[in-house]
Amino acid sequence: MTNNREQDYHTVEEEWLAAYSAGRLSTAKRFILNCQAAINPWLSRRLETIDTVGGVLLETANGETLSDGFMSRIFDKIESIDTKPSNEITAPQVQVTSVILEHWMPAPLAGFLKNEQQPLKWKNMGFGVARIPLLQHGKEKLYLLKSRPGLKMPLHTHHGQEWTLILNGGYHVGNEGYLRGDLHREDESCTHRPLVDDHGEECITLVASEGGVKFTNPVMNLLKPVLGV
Amino acid sequence: MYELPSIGLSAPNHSQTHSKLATVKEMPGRTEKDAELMRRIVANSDKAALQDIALHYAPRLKAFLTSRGEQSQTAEDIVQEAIIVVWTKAPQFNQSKGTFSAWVYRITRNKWLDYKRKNDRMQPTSPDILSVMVDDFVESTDVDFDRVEASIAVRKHLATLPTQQKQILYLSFFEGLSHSQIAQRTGLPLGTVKGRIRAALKKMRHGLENFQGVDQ
Repeated sequence: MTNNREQDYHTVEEEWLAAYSAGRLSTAKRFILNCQAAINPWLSRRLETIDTVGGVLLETANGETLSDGFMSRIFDKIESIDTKPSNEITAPQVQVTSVILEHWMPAPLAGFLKNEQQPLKWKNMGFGVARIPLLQHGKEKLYLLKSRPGLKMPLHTHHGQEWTLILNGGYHVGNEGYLRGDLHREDESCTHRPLVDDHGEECITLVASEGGVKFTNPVMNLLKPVLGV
Repeated sequence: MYELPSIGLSAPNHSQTHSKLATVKEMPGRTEKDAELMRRIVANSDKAALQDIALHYAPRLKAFLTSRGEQSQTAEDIVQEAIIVVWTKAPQFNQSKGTFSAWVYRITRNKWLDYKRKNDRMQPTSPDILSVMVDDFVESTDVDFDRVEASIAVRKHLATLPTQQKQILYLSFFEGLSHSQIAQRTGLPLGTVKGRIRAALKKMRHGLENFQGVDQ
């Protein structure tokens, strides 16, 4: 499924796309951008363009001296693996999977779930919210979050950054609407209260969170261990 | 041992003071030369063409990796893997989908991420799983997007950027510095660093909207 409103989508600012191209993003954030690019070809083109900038800078950069025999080692390896460039495209391995793929899953997410054989087992967190943890690296967590239509999230801010890619349904923050294919970046400088759109569809998001949320209501903060946020 | 002359872009040596910054110039004709070398590799399995292209890019790719903290030998190993991919996947290179330099840049970056993943003992998930997460980039299949024109536009635009903006792009892309590291290196406020990267890339993006096909 692709996004028909390609050029109006939300994504992260250009400096984060440059960080993606330079290989400086965390695994979770990189994965989120790969998923967004799979939904939105416009972002895919932007990432290609930014790689072109990297390529042009590479063309004219100063190099470092290579060790003796650098090329001969390459030719030795080429001889050992093949005799000429191969035009054959390796057929993808057929994998038996018990994972049921949903229409809202972008290809990288579907690939990840299939590869890990991870079924969609939503863990109910209460308040109409459910979650599936995918990865944790250091303090950064990557997870899927499902919210019921019409849910008013409590007022909160974040520890560090939070990147949220909308995969199904949508939500509003004030007058700003976020729909499938939009990427919403927030950090500790922002306090907000997202309102899930009430069109009968659950809102499913892919979230990379550096440090979790911080509710303005102290009671909600006490519930954080239970909610797992 | 291969030593190449300086070709317009000089980077600060890490053993030296960081007060000097990179300068970036255009390199006319490189795209066409790369395309011709790739054509020879595909048509004739021409190893001399591979050597020619490797001698230009390998030292630069090595510098790209050592800037990111990799040891000399590790950097060379990763570059060798990237050059072997250039050879084995040469028929898949399509100039109409972008420049060779962007292609080899992407191959090397992904090889480096792959290396980091395999050698990162802190990763909680199996390397195979993370491979799917990191490398599963979905390339644009939009036939209306003229990538050759777009890459020419990028090159021209890059050449017209103010020196400081080029330097910041260089530090971000080539040396792989974070925004705060660039601020520290240049003495500029963090917000200014982010703003300059954003402004430079936004200008290019707007210029590229002219290459979205005839119907748009």
